[in-house]
Amino acid sequence: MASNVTRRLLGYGLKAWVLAVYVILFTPIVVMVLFSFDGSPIPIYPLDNLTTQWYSQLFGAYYGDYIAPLLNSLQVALVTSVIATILGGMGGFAISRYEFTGSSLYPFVLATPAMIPPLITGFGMLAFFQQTLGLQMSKFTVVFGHVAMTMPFAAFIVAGKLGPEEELERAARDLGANYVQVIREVTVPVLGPALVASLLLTFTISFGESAMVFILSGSDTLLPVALDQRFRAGISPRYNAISTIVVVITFGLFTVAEAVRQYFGE
Amino acid sequence: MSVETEPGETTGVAQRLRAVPERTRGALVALPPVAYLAVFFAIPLLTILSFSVRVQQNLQMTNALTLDHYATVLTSETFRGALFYSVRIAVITTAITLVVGLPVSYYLALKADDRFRNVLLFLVIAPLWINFFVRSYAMIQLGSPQGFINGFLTSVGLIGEPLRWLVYSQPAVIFGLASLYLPLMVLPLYAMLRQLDEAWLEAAQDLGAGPLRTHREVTLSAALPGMILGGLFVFLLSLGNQAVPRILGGAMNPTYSETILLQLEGSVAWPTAAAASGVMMAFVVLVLVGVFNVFDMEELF
Repeated sequence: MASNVTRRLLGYGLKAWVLAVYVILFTPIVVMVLFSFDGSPIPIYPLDNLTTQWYSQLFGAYYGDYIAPLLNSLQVALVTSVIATILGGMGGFAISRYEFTGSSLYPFVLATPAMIPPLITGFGMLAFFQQTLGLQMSKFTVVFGHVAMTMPFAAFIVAGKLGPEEELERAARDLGANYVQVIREVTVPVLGPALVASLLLTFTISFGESAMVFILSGSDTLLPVALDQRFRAGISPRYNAISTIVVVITFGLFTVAEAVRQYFGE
Repeated sequence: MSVETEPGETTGVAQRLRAVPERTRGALVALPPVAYLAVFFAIPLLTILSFSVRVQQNLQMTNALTLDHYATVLTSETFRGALFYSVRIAVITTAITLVVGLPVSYYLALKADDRFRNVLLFLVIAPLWINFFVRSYAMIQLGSPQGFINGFLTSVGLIGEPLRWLVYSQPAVIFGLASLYLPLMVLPLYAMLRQLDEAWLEAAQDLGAGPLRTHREVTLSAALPGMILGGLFVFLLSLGNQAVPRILGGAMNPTYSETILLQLEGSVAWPTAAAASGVMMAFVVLVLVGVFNVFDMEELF
């Protein structure tokens, strides 16, 4: 039957399509990682004379160019993720648990920072901090920006996780548990994975963000600014090496987040 | 009156918390995030909006009001050109992620083996979180005239001259943005298609619809809310992204965001940059209002 043939062809076509998409997504990253081990000082085709010298150079003579900015960015991401998860967690808790004046608008209010381009929010903060408050720009001002930008993600992760558990809490309360017991015995175990997921996600978003970093970092050099400067100086295998480190950190965190999510089911 | 003293029961804190009415407790929990956003999000945006309508004298903002900065932005060839360029790139990127992402989401949601589904989903999403600079650099390395693709194609004799349009071009920017934001299209589509009952597809076939018609009528309508949500994400983020076009686009075509940033770096033209940001915010609000007016999201879900 013609329709059976069509169906089978569509099936093969679909598989080929999906495979091609994965190959296209990952080829640039894989090639970049491979060439971080290329022996020639300009990382171009072909790949030969394998070496790890570019990595040791990063931690040696080029520490200030690459590793110091990397550590700055990790610091910013760490502080951002903690603050954003605490504040966003409260927001998510309020969304899923409480009725209060304006509670129907509340989720939209929390979501807005995710819709305005970070460049514009960053510019606003620069104007406010520098002109109105007279602050010096530094990695701390980047944290203020990144918290505003990542808080919606924290809030919606927590709200999404908390939603369906309300029954359980009511059951616990009906069985005689008091408010603190309900929070400790029911809410926190449910919330735990959501908080971990939120920490990891806000960390990765902050770690990857660059527009706010450009505007708000002042005299502190964070990774995107360092990468932009080095990139303007031309391609170098050290750039491949630092990029590989970034990829490993990002994938590592993301894998942990995913493992946490799957371990706690859902 | 005897007080039961079971462990954990009626501690001072618990009692005091219980005494607070539910609504007040809710408002207290809801307040800190909003307070933070008021100070570190709303006030900054209002600061820009106020800069955009005030006269600047000797590098100081005065209290005299003016619409000149908006006139400058709206009549300037640079800003208008950059806005059209950014919108064009964002529209094409959205269309490409939709066409590329729909079959992928369909496969992941309905056809993929249960054992591999989570891994495949993970692999689609993970690249999103890699630093833009790192990813764009990876693409440059792959596509540059001495890069992997050109090197390979030349060495097997398929091309004589390296292909120059692979990097620092509009196709390169679109490719960069599309592969960056593909997950934001795939995830909402996947969520919608996961809810699609395969029985509907079978029913459509039993009723005589061919595979193409079945997909048009059943799959596409099930995926519609995901398309709108994903489209909105991809469009707005591509529009605002500054890093990818900065690296992959070369110097010829600055995007709207890049143009604002260039004004800031000079730090003299703040009011112009503020007005340009105002135009961008108005544009974003218009798009959101437009989309939510045409499609009732509550009804779609």
